[in-house]
Amino acid sequence: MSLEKNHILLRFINHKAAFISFIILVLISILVLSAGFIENMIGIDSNNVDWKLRFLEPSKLNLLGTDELGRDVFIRLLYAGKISLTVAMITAVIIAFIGIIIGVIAGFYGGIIDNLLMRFTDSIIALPLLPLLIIIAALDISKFGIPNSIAESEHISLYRIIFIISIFGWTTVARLVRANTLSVRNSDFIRASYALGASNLRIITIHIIPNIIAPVIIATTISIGNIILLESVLSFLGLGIQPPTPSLGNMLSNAQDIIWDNPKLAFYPGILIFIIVISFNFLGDGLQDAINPRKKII
Amino acid sequence: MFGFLKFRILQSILIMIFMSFAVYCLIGLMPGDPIDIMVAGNPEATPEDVARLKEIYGLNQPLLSRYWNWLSAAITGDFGYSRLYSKPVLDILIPRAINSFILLSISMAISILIAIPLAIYAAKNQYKLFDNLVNLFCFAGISIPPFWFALMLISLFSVSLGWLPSGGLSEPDASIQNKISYFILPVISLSLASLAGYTRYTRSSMLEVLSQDFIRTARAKGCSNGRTLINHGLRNAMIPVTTIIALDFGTLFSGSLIIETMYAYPGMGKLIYDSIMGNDYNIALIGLLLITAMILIGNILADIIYKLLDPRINFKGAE
Repeated sequence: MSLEKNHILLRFINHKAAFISFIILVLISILVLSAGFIENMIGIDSNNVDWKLRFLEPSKLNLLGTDELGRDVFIRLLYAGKISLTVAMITAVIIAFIGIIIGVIAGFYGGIIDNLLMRFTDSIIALPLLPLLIIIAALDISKFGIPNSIAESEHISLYRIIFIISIFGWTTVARLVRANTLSVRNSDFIRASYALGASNLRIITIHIIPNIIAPVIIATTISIGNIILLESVLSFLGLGIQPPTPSLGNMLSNAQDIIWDNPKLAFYPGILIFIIVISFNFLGDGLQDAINPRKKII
Repeated sequence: MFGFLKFRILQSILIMIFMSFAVYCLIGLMPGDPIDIMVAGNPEATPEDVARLKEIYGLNQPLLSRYWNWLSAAITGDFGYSRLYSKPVLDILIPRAINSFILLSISMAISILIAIPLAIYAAKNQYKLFDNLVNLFCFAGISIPPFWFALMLISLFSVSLGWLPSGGLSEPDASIQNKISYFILPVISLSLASLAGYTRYTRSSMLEVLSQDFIRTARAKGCSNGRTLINHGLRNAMIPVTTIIALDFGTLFSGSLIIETMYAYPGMGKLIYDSIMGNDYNIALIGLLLITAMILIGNILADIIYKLLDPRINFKGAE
C-alpha cells in the first residue's frame, strides 16, 4: 500500500502543471489568510475611505494603488480572495456531502429508489442554471418568515450564496458516486461483510464510501474552481456577496462602473479569479492522473 | 427507440411543468409586488383600489389556484402581458430569442470550426509543444471568468483602442461591416469557453480512438496518414463530440445571459435578466421555460444523434 501511495505522489509531482498549481494555491492561501497581518505591517486601513487618496498609482504603501474610494486595492484583493475561497470550499464540501448521500443511496439500493433519484438528478441538470440562480439570489428572504434581524445581518449574503450553489451543484458528484457504488456493490468483500451480518449502514460507511472517495475528491477539487466562477458571476451582477464584504466578483462589479476612468482596477480581481480557478483545474487534472492514470472521469 | 423517445418526451414535459410551478412560486417571493409597483406610480390610489386591483388580477386567490389559472391560460397560448413593455409576452420574447439564436449559432459554428482542426492536430502530436499549448489554452478557456474576459475585451478594443463598439446592435440600415463590428466582441467572449471545451473533448476522444486496434489495421493495410486520421479516427471520435455539442446548445442559451448583459445585446438572456430585476414576471417565467425547453430538446437531440451515429447504442440500457 505504501508503495502504491508513493507512486501516486510521484505521478502527482511529475504532473508539472498540477504541482505548480498546488504550490501557487498554497501561496495564495497563506497570503489571503495573513491579509490582516500584512495590513497591520504596512500600516494602512483597507476600509478607510479617503477622497484625497482616490486612484493612487502603485507605490510601496499601496502595492496595487487605490480604488475609487481611496481604499488599498492589494489588501482588499486579499480579503476578497479569502471570502471567495472560503465560500467556494465550504460549498464544495457541502456539495460533495449531498452528492455522496444521494449517489450512494441510489447506487446501493438500486431499483425504484435509484430510478427516482437519478431521474431527479437528470431533471436538475436540465435546468438553466444561471437564470435560476439569479432568481433565487434575488428572492426576498424576509417573505419566507425569516426574522429581519437575520435577513439583514452582515453575513446573510454568504450563507445565501453557499445555499443556492449547493442546491444545484451536487449532481456531478451524485452521478459519479452512483456509478462507482454500482461497481463496488457487487464485490466479494461487500458480499462477505453482508454474510457476516453487517448492517447496510455499516457496509455503506465502512466499505463503500472509502472505496469511492478518490473520484469524489477529484471532482470536488475541480468544482471549487467552478464555484468561484459562479460566485463571481452572481456577485458581479450584484446578487451574490454584498458589499461592504469584499468578494472578487463584487470588486469587479465596482470596477466595471469606472472602467472608462481606470481600467486597471478591473484587471486585478479578474486575474486573481483566473489564477485560482485554473490552478484548481490543473490540480484536479493532476490528482486524476495520479490516482487513476488510465481513466478520465470528467 | 420510439419507446425510449416517448419516455424522454414525457419526462421533459414533466420537468417543464415542475419548472413552471417552481418558478411561479419563487417569483411570488421576489421583492416588490406588481400591484404595489402599479400603485406607487399613482398617489391617489386608496387601499380599496389596491384590493380591487388584486381582485382583477386574481392576486387575492391562493397560490395553487393562481398557478392553475396561469397554466390553463398558458396552454391555450395566452402568456399574458409584459409589465415593462406593455405588450404581449411573445411579441417581446420572439425577436429577442431570434437575436440570441443568431449570436449563439455564430459562436457555436466558430467554436466548432476552430476546435476540431486544433484538436486533431494536437492529438496527432500528443505531448509535443503544440499539444501542450493547446492543452494550456483549453484550461485557460474554461477557467477564465467570462464576464471578466468580456470586460477586458471592452476595455482594450473599445475604451483604449476605440476599434470596436462596446455593445448594443447597429442601426437596421447600417453597412455590413458596421453590422459585423457589433458581433465581434460578443462572439469572441461567448465562444471562448465552448471552444476550449470542444477542443479538450475532441482531443481526448481522438486520442482514445487513435489507440484502438482498427487504426493500426488501417495503417497496416497501407492507408495514408491523413485518411486514417480523418476517415477512421475523426469519424469515430466525433460520435461523443456531436452529442456534447447538442447538449451544449441549451446550456449556451443559459450562459449567454451574462455576455448579452455585458454587451447590452438585445437577446433573450439579457431580457430574462432585465425582467427578473424589473419585476416583469410574465417575461421572466416564459423566458426561463423557453430556455429550459431548448435544453431539454438539446438533450433529446443528443440521444437521437448518438443513436443514429452509432447503431451499437442500445436504448434499453439507458431506460
